[in-house]
Amino acid sequence: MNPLHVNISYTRGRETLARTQVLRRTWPVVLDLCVAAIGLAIFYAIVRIAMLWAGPPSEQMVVSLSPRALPQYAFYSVVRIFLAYVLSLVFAVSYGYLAAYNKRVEAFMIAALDIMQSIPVLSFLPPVMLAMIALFPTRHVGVELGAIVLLFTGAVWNMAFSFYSSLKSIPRELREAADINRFSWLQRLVQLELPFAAIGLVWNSVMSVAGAWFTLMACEMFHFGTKDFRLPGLGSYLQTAADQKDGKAIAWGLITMIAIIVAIDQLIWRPLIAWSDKFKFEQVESSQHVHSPLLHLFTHSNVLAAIARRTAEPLNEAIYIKLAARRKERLARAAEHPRTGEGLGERVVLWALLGLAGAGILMAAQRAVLLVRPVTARSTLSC
Amino acid sequence: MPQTIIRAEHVEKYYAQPSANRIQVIAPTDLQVFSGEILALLGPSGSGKSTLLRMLTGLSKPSAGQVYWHDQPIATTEPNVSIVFQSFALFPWLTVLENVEAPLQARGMDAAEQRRRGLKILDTVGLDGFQTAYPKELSGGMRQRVGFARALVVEPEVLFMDEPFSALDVLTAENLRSELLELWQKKTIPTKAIFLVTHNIEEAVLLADRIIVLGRNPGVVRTDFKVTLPHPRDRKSEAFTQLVDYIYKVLTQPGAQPPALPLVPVGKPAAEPRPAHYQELPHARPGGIAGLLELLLDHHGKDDIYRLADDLGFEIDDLLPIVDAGQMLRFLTVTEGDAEITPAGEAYANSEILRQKELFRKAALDNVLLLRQIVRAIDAKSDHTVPEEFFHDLLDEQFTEEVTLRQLETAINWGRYAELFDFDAARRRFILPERQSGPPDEPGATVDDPGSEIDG
Repeated sequence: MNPLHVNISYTRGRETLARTQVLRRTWPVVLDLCVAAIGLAIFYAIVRIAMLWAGPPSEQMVVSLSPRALPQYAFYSVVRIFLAYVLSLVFAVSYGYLAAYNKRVEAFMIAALDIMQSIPVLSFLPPVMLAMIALFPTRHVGVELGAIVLLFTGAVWNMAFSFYSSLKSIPRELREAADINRFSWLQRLVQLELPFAAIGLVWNSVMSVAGAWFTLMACEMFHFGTKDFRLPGLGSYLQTAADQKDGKAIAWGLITMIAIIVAIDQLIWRPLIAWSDKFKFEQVESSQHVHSPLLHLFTHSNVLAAIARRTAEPLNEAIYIKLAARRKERLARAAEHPRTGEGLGERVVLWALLGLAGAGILMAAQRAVLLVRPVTARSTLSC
Repeated sequence: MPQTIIRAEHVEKYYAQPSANRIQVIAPTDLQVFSGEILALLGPSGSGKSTLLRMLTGLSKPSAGQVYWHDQPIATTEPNVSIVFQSFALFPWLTVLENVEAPLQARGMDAAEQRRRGLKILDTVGLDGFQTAYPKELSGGMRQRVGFARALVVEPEVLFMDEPFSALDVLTAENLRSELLELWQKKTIPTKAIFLVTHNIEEAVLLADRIIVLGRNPGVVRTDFKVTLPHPRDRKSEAFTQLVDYIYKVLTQPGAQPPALPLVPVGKPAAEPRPAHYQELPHARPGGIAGLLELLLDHHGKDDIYRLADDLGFEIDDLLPIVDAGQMLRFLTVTEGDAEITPAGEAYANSEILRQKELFRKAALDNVLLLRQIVRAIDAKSDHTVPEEFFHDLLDEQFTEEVTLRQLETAINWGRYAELFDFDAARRRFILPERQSGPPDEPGATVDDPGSEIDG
């Protein structure tokens, strides 16, 4: 064999090796740049939203049917849905948690949930709007919050049910493992309850957001007493286009809507579903996986990992140490003053508080009905 | 004298019923766990062994009585214990290391210390290099190793194990058992006592320094003795098999006396609960009883139950109900852990199917109170049907809901097979059987009276 030839191929081999190495080494940096770009975009979005919300209420807003207005409208609608969804998630988790662990109120809370989900979204409209506009009479944010709360009432119930039923079906031995290892409520939530409920919550989120698109039109444009409220958004665009029988505008609006729904599916649900795969409660690993480039981006970025290492992890540790210390204190107190009797006084106080709260709720509800009645009567007349 | 770690005084567990009666799961029981011992709690399913374990760890509160840890009531102290679960109970979304670190995290340990101890214990149980794997990527045996690591990482004073090997295959279980024993004997782990719940007699005799046998309905300590066989224990040795036989005998015959063996009784066995009105029908199918009797005939009419189980590849939990059923029908007798076929049993095993049913019918009517009562009730009623509810309520007085339902299921099964009565599942009623002239169907496959369904 020609020694020279060997030599050449050797150097070439090294060269290609070095090149692949460059790519491999710089890949996380590329991912970091992507993450930074996403961060800046989110910042810009927040600024725009703040500008809209802080402005005065716009009763006479004219919905433009120009396709150029669409990106902005679509953006406002998406933000509304996103905030309504976040609100739903927080509510669903808290409500499900309370219902699952308080035997005394469990049946009542579940019945209440069932009643609430049976009420059509539009029935919530007058009281919610009234309350929100009363809160912020001089700012646009009142109407905006009203729309968000309405979207919330259309999206939240199934998520709350999902979380509650997941909590109820956690296997007994997993719970016992958490108990015997002295998990605090926080650790139990983070390491057992949320992961166990994750898959149900993700799929119910998909459903809830779809429901939110459905109620969007009603929430962005409505008559209210003598006033006629319009919010800039995709829903009001489509509604106006339909009122004016502008076929072209309807087509543009629909195309935008479909594009957004596809984008949300690709950019949010797919990564979420891929991520939730690890929460499957299964004995053997299944061979089918959902893949998502966006999830790859987030899990392989150096910047995100570094931020987590510097902030979330130390904070987490501090909280856990504090919780453990508190548990020890509580136990020491219990050993010093062994509880006598079944805490009769405590129970009396609890019942008294419950009674007071119930009376307060009833009174407020009655007031609300009185408040809303003339408005609804007038609004139906004006329709 | 070894130090007492846990002392249970008159602990019992019962569930209140709407009627004055209550369902007793565990009769008042005294029990102690000493330092330096492996204690095995042995009993058939339904004897409340897992419930007892949960009461001793503080996971479950006794209905009455008190558990003390080092003479302190368990409610006012936080004993350093951990449990190895039958189902492993690992969190599938956490890696092996995260699973093992979780108990340390809950105890408020700093991250570096968590990592150090986590890695050390993984090394001890032979999981070095698996830190970042998820439990579902591991085999059953490896997963239970993670379970052991998670339990041992907190250096528990008493290690509780709830049937830790029963979800594993035979070889893996054997392997893990001997590794655990090695860790214990070499004092690699600072644990002072091990409390093992099992239904596997051999496992108990292999591992334990002391064995407590529970009887069921309600759970009650039948015997409590020390095992002084030296380690490693040989399953084939005379002393070992005799001990296994003895435990079988205790399980099948409450009043059995311990053999002259190197074992020392600890305390007095509790008095037997007052005899129940109804016998508990063992959950066995007539086909199973016939199968066992035929096997016995092949073994010249008499054999060790332990060997029979081995031959069939059965666990004791699977075989015992069948033996109990044979005993109840007087098709076989059990003495000293040996099952012996009776003449009636021999006749039964040798007959063809119609004759078998006839013999079964006779034996069932003579020996099983519940079946006799059902037949009498059907005869006495003018429409010859009796609602299931009636017997449900009778049995309910004495047994838990679960046991009651299982007994009714067995009674229906036996009654249909013996053609004593039939059961209309749609109306939940016992009815007169349709005596068939031709060869009868498989037991249990009887179809409900189609007429009654149309009526309904």
